[in-house]
Amino acid sequence: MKDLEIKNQIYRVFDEQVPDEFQKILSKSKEEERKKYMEKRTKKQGWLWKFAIAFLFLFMLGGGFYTYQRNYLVDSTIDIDVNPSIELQVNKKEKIVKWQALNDDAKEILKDMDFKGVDIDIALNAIIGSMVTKGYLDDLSNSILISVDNNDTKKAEELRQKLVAKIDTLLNNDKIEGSVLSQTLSTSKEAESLAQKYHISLGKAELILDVVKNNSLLKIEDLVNLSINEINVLTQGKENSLTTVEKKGTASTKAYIGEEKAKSIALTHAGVKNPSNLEVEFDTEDGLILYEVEFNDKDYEYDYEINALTGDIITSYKEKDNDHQSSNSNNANFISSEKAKEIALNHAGVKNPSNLEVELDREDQEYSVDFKYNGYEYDYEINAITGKIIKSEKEKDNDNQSSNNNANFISSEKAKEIALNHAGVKNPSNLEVELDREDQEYSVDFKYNGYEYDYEINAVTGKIIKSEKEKDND
Amino acid sequence: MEQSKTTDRDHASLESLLLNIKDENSFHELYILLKAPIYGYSLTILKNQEDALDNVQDVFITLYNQIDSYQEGTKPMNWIFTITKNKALSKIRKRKNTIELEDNTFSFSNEEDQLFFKVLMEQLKEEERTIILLHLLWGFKHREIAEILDSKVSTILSKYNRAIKKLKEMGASK
Repeated sequence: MKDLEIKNQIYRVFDEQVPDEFQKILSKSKEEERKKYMEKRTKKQGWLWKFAIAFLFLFMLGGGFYTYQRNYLVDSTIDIDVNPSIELQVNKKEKIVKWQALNDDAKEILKDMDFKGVDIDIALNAIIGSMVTKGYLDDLSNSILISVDNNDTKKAEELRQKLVAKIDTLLNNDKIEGSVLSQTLSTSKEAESLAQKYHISLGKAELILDVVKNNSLLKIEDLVNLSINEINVLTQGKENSLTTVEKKGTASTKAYIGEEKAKSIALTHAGVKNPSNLEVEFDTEDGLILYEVEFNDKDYEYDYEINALTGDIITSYKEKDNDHQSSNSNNANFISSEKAKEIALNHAGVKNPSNLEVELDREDQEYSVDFKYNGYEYDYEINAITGKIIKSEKEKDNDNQSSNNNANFISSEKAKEIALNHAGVKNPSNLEVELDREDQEYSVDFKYNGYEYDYEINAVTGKIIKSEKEKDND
Repeated sequence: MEQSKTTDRDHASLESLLLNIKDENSFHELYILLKAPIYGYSLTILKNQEDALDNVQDVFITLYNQIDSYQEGTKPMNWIFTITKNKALSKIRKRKNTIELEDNTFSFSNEEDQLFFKVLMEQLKEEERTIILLHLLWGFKHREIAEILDSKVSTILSKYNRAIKKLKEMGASK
């Protein structure tokens, strides 16, 4: 046995004893970071106040206090959220005292910017400009959230109005029809703990609380990872969906396939031609924006969830319509189809399956739940009254013989379309689409009009992971 | 497949990963590279699997959040080692009972590894094992190990050679 072999073996015996807990560690690390940041923020504010009080008398004597406070003390805190989340702190003269990126997207925006002592208007100009150039704000994603925090509510409101007007002008200059959400913050414990838990800005936390309060079907954990435009889309067309947040303009839905298309996908899949009670609504699950399509046909009720970006069917429910049931049926005793799905997924230890189908057989009082995951097909039968699993089957999915779960990937054609739509480009040159199976990502590169575009797209969800646009140097 | 190891990386590439720790990909790469050395050393000190795994987690959370205190241009592995050691020692201080290594159940992919691990953990003296781990897992030079353990290079070298010999004699089936 050579020394190198010993080295390899030592490595192996220790390495294989440590399960890969990276995701857990990552989220704990971020939580800790957020905690540290919040502590610093409150400590600093507390310290500044004590400092101010302690020296008030001295400064007053010297007449210097007023000038000091105007130049250095934080007067308002402003959160700007698009998907990048940025926090600005300004003094009484509305000059920037401190600025901070609250997420990775924001780091990209703020990269080399130095705002010390800069007027809020100028900073806003630079930030919005950078967000437009980097593709965070455009026709496909046009929503921005502004949150102003000042102990003086009147001042906060004045500043809010001023900033909204300013952003409106800036977006107009860039020919973007924007949707500006805005609010003044009254720091609530609930929002603070939400912001800490999910590493989001206080402003975004308040928005989410407002949305959830008025839309009981939406869940906090589903909203925290969405962009402001996606959250804005979900509140669209629902009355009183926002109360404390002011809204101007309409969220862009141009990135999505559209209601008509969603309807036709669902109807085709169900083989239904003339549905009744057809309804379409935006919904969200697992970070995806979905069209929820519901309709009735003959004795059946249908419920589809369709990926709004790709048109893929995420879930389909089909159930004997309650309204048509004879009076002696015991509907009330049945567990919900949602519950049946949960029982099956829990048993399988699967979180985000594809091709999920839930069907209720009233006569046999059984749910059948089918789905695919990671190259396997699962087939469950569940007692519709007790929730007991009657049958569970798992077998290699024959539709995709290869070890990868191709069936879950969007097509390269689709990936190309997503990138081109996002870029607003129709006939690019040098188009290259490549699928990285391991990372489950498409990379889409092309040139157009003197620019080079570089996209990375999640091959399962169709979500744009990265988009870059730069002057073509060739 | 050959694993990627810390010992195969130079200071500069490790440092650049460390300085970019807030980037998820860099952090993940660091994790894959460092989990074995951090666990190995933690286990040697703590003698308990669960505590050692806990220590691995704590060390990475600390690296992520204390990166500002790392001085660029100094040796990254020294900094990581110091954190690993201090975290482990503070766990020992909080302990009420002494712990025996025999109380753990370790699982391995083959018998050969199991035997090797047994020799490594039970037949080597603690100092021999530490030297072996610091050199082969952490990539420290014998001179650096002498500094860490406050000993002479010649002593470290002879102990290292003795330990390797034991491993070869007792732990190798081939």
